[in-house]
Amino acid sequence: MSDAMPVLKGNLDMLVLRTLSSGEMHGFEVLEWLEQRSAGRLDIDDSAIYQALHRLEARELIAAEWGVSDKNRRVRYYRLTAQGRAQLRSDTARWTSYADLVLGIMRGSGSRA
Amino acid sequence: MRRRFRRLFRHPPLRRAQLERELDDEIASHLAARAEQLERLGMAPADAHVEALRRFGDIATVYTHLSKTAMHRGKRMHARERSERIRTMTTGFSHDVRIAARTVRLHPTFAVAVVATLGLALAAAVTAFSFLDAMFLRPLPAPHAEQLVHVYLPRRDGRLTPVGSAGTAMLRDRRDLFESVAAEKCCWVKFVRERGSLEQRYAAFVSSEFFPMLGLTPRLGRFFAPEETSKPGTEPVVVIGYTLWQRVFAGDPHVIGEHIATSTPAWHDFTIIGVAPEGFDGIGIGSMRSEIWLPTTMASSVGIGCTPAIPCDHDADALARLKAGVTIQRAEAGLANLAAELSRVAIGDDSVRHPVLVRASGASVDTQRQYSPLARLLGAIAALLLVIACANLSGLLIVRNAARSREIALRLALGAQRLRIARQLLVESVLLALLGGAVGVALSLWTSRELMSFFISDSEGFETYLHIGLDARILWFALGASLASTLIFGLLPAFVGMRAEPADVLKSGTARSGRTRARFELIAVQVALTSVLLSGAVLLARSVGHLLHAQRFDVEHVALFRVRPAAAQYDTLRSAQFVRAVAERVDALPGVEQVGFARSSGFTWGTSPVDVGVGTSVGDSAQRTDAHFVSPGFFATLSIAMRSGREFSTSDIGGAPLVAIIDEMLERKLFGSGDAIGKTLYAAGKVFRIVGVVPDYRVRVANESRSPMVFFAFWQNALGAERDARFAVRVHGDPSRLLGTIRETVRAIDGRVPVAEVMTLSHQVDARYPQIRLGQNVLLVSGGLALVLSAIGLYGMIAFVVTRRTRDIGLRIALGALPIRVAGQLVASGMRATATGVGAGLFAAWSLSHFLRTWLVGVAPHDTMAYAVAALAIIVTALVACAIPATRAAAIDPAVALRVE
Repeated sequence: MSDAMPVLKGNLDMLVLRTLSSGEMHGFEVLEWLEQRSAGRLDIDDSAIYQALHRLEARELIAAEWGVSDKNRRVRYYRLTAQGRAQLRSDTARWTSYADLVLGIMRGSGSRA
Repeated sequence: MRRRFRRLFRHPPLRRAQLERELDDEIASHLAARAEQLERLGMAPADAHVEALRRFGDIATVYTHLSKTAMHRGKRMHARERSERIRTMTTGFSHDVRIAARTVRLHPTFAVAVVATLGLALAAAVTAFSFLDAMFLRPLPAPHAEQLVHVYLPRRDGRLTPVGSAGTAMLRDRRDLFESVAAEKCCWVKFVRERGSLEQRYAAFVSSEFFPMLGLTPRLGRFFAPEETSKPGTEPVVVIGYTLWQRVFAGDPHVIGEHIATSTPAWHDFTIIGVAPEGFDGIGIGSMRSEIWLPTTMASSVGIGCTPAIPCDHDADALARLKAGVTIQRAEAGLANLAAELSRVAIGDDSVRHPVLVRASGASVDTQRQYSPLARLLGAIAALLLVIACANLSGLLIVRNAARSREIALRLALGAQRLRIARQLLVESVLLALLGGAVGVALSLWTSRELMSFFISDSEGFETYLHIGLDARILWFALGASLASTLIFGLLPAFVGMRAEPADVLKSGTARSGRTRARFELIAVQVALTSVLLSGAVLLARSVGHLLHAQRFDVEHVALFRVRPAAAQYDTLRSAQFVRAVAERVDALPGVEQVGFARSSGFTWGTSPVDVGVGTSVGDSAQRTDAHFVSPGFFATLSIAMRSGREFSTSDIGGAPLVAIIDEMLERKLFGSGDAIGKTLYAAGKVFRIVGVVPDYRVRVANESRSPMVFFAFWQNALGAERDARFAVRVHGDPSRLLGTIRETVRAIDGRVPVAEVMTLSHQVDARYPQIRLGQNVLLVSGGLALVLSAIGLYGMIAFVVTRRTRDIGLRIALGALPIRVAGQLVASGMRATATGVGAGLFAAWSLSHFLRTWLVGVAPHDTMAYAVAALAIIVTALVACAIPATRAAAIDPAVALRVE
């Protein structure tokens, strides 16, 4: 974790929404998914994921339901709501255009945006 | 204070505690998962836990933060939940269906098992119902068919007697009750010459009201005018059927005015005045399709054996259309003052006081009575199969719900309503039931056709008019039956599932309740019902075996046909020449071994007996017998070995000394135990020398009485001249392949003589006893089906127990129990249920067997052998079904089993 990167609060919510867009998961699965996708370079406390999940749930962007995991553990499963899906779409659009903009400036290719 | 406040607003006091507990659970579950992952990566368990905690972060801060969010969310949820609960109870239905569809897709084996079981049982039920529908329920194809009734006079013995043409005329005057009344006498076989050829036709005699009453309009020409069917001696006219018009007259529009002729008792010309509309085959349901319609007034001219005192239309049916608004009860009451006179006109005395009206649906009351044992049997079998299927399905569902008990318990624990879950389970069942119903209806199209094939022709080759096919009533029945089964098989497991306490289930991992026992009980019920079906099937199979073998002749290689020179108005001499020619030419055909003939032969022996009194001295006519008139070589043709003496020979002809052959029964009656050969018997005032004795003719249904038999030589014409003959032809190989050749050969000799009853002997046996044969087939198929269902049930049960107790079994084997003993105990538990079922089933079958009595030939209803065979079959099947999963249990590796959660 030498080049671990902290994640901004707003970004984490977006990342969690993106994760859940690939299917219903419980907290630890969300964490694992993010770890795998980032090759372990995201620096997040495990608890942050749960805070994000509960926050998103309170905003009704995701919904939760108790279930039983593959390992027969009682877990809380989260899934995207329709609202959450819409939020993810707009977040993705905003974020990529923002990133493009920033990248363009930083690389100096686009003198004016 | 705060508590009271809460109670006042019905705020759930445990909401906060519950949310906190859920939070605890979620964090604990996460920590465990993380620790496990770390362990997998090689960390020591203790270190893994510490590391998991560290990675989680500052647990106290996080906890406070999280619980605040959770509480906030909880309050909003509470408000929403209330409205949602109301909504889900009313609108969650499509959601249930979607979930059910998904569940079905996810467990295809289960779904296939349910749909197949239900489909098979429903196919049986729908087929049985189609038969009942065609025979008893279907209204006549007429507008306002509900107003159509038959009028009968009930006799003391319970039979309903028709009122005849004379009675019909009396009813016609009751304009206050009936709109119109028609006389109809169905299903006479006449030989009819149309455009040169002489054919058997099915005729009905009707009065002029008949066609208009059914709302029919002629395809061509007109129907009968009132005077044509009321005044004897008017010009004889006929209405022909559409099929006949197409087939014989090639749809010729100029057919009106042409003549056809009936041949017996003498040639009688009829002028064609009309063609019936397409698709109308008369109303002889369960009997024959009508091909021609003649006026009732002509019945006595073309009928045989009628006298002025008893005219041929004395037994015509009265078909009446009730006046609008008149009920059957009112009409019956209204007829009371007419009863005595009606009774006198119709049956010769005034014994009947209350005529009855029967709605005209399905077949005639006579046909209905004839088929009601079969109808009851079919209905009972279908009901049994449905119950067996339901028991099986309940079992399947209980097992599956047991597998889902954790899921259900969890949902209960999480606050799902029992009713909601029960409804979900029920929706699943309904979905499966509808699928099963659809499969059942589809299958029944085929099974109904199979059933119909038993009615294709009777023993004289006449096609039975019975339309078995789908209609709205049948579809409603199928829907009702599948939904009823759903209620039975879906609700029971649903309630069993609901009973379990969620906490127990979650703790133990499985729901232990009475459900293993419940399932064993279900299996005992299934086995019991299977025993009933199977022992009935074996009884009827043995009965059919007797039909075929007790006869002591080989039915396999014999073709039959009948020639009717008498119908072509040939005299005795010309008939004899013709019959001789036929015998010679058929005998010369390749593949023919031997030819014999008689006035009646094969199984029609029983249908047209001639009563002849015989005795041992002149004038002594003490003994009534069935008399038969047979050719030389007749017994050899049917492979009937003479017990003693000889057959008739070619020298037993007119002028030679009169000879007779008797059966053993007559021999015993006339001569006691002595040998009858060479002795004499007297019949119709003539003396016959007995030249041979044949074994008893055994084919009789159990309750049918049987007369002794005497055989006279065909060519001696001792009791009147023979003209018509029934031929039996013994051939090499399959007799059905020779039927066409035989017909052509006979036609080639003289095309004017009708050839009838062309069929194989084995077909005649089937057709003569369609109910026995059909009953046997239906029972065998359904018994087999029931056996398979029960076997599947047992197998599933034991397999279920094995899966449930894998740990147990592994432990016991690990502790030194012999695997064979473990397997033995499992088999024993299955066999206990089987034994209970077989015991109860055989007892039930034993007490019900008298219902089959009418169809049992040479087998007692309490035939021990039949019950033993049925019991053995079930026990062997059950043993196999139990042994397979039990052996698997014995092979359980304790080391693996103990690791199973």
